[in-house]
Amino acid sequence: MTLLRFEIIKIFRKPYVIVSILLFTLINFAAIFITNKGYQQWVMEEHQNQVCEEFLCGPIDSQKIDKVISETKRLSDIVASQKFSREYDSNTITGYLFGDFNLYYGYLEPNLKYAVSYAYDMQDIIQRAYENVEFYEQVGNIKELNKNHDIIQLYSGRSINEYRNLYGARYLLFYDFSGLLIMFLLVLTLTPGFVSERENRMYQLFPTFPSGERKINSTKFLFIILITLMYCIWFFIMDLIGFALFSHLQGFSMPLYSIQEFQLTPLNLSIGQFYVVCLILKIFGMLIISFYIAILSKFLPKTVYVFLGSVLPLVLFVFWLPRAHSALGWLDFVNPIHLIKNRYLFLSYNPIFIGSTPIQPVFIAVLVAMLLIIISSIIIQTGIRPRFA
Amino acid sequence: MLEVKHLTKRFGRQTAVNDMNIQFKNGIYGLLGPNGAGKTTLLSMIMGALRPDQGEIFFEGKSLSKDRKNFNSKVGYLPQGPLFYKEFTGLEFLEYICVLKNISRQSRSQQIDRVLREVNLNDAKNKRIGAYSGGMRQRLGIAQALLGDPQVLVFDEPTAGLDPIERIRFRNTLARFSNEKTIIIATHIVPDVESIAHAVVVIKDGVFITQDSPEFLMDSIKGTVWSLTVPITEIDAYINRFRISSIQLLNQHYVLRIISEKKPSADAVSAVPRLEEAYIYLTDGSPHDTASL
Repeated sequence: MTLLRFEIIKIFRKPYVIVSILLFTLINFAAIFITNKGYQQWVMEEHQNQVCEEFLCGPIDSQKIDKVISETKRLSDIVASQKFSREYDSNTITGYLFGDFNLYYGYLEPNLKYAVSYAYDMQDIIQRAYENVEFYEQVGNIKELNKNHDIIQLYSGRSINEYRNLYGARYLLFYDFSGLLIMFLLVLTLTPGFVSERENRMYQLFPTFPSGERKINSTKFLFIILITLMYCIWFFIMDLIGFALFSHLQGFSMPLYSIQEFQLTPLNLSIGQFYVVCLILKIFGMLIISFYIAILSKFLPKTVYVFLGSVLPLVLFVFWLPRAHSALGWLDFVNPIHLIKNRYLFLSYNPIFIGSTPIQPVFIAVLVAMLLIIISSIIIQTGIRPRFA
Repeated sequence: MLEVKHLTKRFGRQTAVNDMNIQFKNGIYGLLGPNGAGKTTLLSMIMGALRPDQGEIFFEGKSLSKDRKNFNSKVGYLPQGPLFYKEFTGLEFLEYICVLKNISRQSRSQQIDRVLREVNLNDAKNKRIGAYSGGMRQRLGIAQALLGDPQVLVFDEPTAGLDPIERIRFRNTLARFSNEKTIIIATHIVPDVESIAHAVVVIKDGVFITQDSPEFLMDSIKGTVWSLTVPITEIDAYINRFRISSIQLLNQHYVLRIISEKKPSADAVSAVPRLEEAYIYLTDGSPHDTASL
């Protein structure tokens, strides 16, 4: 632990590290503010929230459904008749009658409809899955049989019984910019890790200590984990604070499938639980990046090479983005961005088959990540030393 | 006792250390050689920072390739041109080294105080290393090597950047340990070891040249060092033809010390050799020394 304290001093006394953390935190807040503002205007979120708080939020009942349907119909009829005022009207929610029509027709009614019909839609899917089970049993297709059994198990008993304004929570789950900032902070923080020891000529001293380089390597290994955890948790909290400040963040206890993009998610978790799962997976993805930087730092002779060697592949990784709803290939799992931008692993049930057993891609992704982390830790902790050390 | 046997290290086609055999017992050893002679490579192999291509290093009779732990617990090392961590204070750095050297928590502060006094850095211990001068950093390097009271001390160019007073202080500090420890000082600055070394090891181009006491080495070149006073206008002729170990300006004349098998001039008088002249005699293969003027 004492050595870990010294590792922390080595990095956090560099003024640029503290400045970068503060600056990136501010940039993150600015990004949350700016993107939320645009998004909120686009989806009329302010007005949706107003209606939600006035009567719509809470358990869904027939009274609320009737009210939304009748109001949507009333506004649709007026707009269809073309006989409506285009002037500002203080009796409307948005200030304009056409705006109210958009609000109800474009957002409130479809959202309510999605929530109400969700249980029925799932029942349809389950019914079809039962039919598939029967069919695949007859033709002896074990793979598809197992997959359909999973579908029945995963999607049974699902329903949305409450209405909430989930735009803030949804946007929080789709917000990736802080991940990019974490990656750059990791580059700035971990680049000097080993290479600076060489530049300071400490590499010549380490082998002369009783425990050789083992103690140093183990400490650096712990430091890498600690710093990755720290940055991920810091931005996890900062994102939450940012969204709490700049959007209407609510509905964390609602099921994840309450958000329309996650209609077919294989996860039966609440939005809040999913946000924590996202953090855990993000930590795995970031650890791969951290260890990658550390290995470069151990084997390249100059800080500038490590920096470039870290940044360039990260840019490539970011552009090699996961594709929504598409099945992932094995090669995709090597890309740590799948674990950082991990919602794509949960949008629908797209299992990967090992033999005839369907496995959820997230397990493969975590397995690959753990394997990479173990290999990296062996490389970092063993006494392998480059020739120019 | 520390012993290297048939030690060889190559970097590509270049042989940095070639079949070197040296014994180091208790006492101070000056490891002398011109730049690029292989001093740092030799020390890096002894200290474990480089793996030899051939040969073995023994400490207390045991090969370091089999058991380095015992050696590492008894050695202090100052690498060449250390920069250390500019973010640490001198005190923090020494605490860090104490942890790496497994020095018990109880004796740390006492040991740190002692080595800081030895190198005269007590007043600057709370300053960041980034604010240290080159000489202060070198003294800090010496201090960290002394931590743990090691039985073997290895210094690579220890006096680089030290002012004359600090050089003397360094020499005096080492002289105090000379009987109880094995101290190796790699340098190309001969006066650093002249007064304190029990033995001098001379290497050149990765090859062992000789190992003997300074007295013996100086004795071995008796009759080849000459003192000669020449007018200023004639200096060039002597520089081009002889190995000159020192030039001193005196009353519009130069007093030269010349290393030559033959008497360089009828006016030259034989001088008592110095260690530096023995070193030049052994390592400087440059032209000169062909005929008297």
